Amino acid sequence: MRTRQEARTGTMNATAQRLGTMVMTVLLLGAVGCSSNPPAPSSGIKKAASKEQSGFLKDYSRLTRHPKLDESISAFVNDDAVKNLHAYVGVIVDPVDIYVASDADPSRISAPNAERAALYFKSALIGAVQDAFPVVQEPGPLVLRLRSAIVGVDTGGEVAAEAGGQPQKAVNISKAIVELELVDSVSGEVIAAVVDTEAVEGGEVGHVHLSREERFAAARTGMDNWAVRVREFLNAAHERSSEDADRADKALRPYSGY
Amino acid sequence: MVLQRCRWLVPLALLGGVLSAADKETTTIQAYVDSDICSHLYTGSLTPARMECTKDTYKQGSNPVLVRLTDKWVFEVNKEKMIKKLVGELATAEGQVNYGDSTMKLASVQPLDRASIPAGKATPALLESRPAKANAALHERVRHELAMMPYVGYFDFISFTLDDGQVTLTGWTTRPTNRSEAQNRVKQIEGVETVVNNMEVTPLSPMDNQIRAAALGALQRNLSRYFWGSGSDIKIVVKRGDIILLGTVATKTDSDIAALRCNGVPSAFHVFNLLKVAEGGDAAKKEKGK
Repeated sequence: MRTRQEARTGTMNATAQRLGTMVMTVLLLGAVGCSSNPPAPSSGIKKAASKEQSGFLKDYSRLTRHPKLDESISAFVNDDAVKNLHAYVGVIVDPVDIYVASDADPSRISAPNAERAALYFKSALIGAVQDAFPVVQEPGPLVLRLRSAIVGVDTGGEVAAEAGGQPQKAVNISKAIVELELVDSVSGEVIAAVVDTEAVEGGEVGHVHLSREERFAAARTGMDNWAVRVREFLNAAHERSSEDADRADKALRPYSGY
Repeated sequence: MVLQRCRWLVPLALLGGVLSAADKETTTIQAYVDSDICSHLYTGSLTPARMECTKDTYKQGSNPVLVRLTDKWVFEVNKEKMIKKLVGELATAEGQVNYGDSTMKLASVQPLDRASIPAGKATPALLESRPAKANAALHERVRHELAMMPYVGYFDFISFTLDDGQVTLTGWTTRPTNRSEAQNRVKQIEGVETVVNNMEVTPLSPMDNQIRAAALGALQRNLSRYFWGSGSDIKIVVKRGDIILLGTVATKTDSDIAALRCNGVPSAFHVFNLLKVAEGGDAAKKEKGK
């Protein structure tokens, strides 16, 4: 026969067990919930895999020079009959990744300034592409995802030291290039890719010296130019031949009665 | 006491009232009561084909709108009930016109007798039966400018008419910038005096995008020969769940297949099949058979 004390201990044990189970269940559900969410687009400082290829693009082998664009641009356009640029009507612009040069030390680069550069380039990209592809927030059918990276960032001049921290360096983009991909926002299939190796002379973000504004202005101009060239690439990829235009026009002629 | 203190407010309020009344001035227009779809599809004068399109598409569920006779400006109305009995006919409408969003707040609508409209030089543009002054070179320049627009895809339809120096643009596009770009391109052409822009921007809602993707996939699988890299002979206009099929196909069978496949698209409300069969398609085959 169980004493009252044993019974109370037993009840307490059972309650503790139940509580433990509930806590575990909540934790497990939380973990499952977190893991079932799609991974958020990453942004931050990464190290380039090698001097030639950062590893940001899924495939570098398909890039070729585009006859109508500057020599510094190599690109790939998927000419699949179904999955091609002409079939898309909107775009999501992901946060820009920053890849430091393979021989640079990522820990010396000032993270806030890298973020500043990434944010500026993202807004420049949005400004450049939104006329061609309205910018939307949710993935879905006929929506592209624009992934982009500034690759080959190096350490620049000094930045204002943070208390107790290691001295940080500005973000030097003067030897950096841009890599970007337009992928199907649902399937992830690559629809187009571009690498622009145009240099940004003297571009730095975050330098403390008197010439900071000048250097940042150079960086801004460089990033604006990269964005403009992305738009030029899109325009070239969408350009219609006279034959195509005539064919399209012929199909619609019965409605206008001319 | 309060009124005495705020006496200066009275003239201000009166002025505000006058300004607001001027803004909401009532206008009377003579118009053709069209269906929403046909008003964006046909740009020329009022032909039997257009009137047939009006009645067919209205019966199938397209909303009634007013097309002003003088300049073919399309107005959506706040009370569709007031004009639904006059679909396919002429009417005199009274109300407040908002040119910004091409809408009209209706006060009254009366049927309009066509015989009461003077013929000759004073005939409104929409009722003009004689062909517009031929200016083939200008027409070709406008056509070329619009046809070369880069971001016009499978889901956009842009058309126009040219009456002397006036260009009327019409159609649907998913990109707001296409609407303004078409107008800017045409405006810059020498010889074009005025541009009426009746193009409509179709919303990029996730549901409409799903319908677009499903319809495009279904048509590309079954009628792939009508689709090529930068364009297509078949245009798929999707507006608030409705699919409007436009363009030219070789045979009636292809037109039926297109409609059938689009009818199978999940969450599409209705398919308006306005595809044309090319001259020399079915007709030529029948002739050969004889």
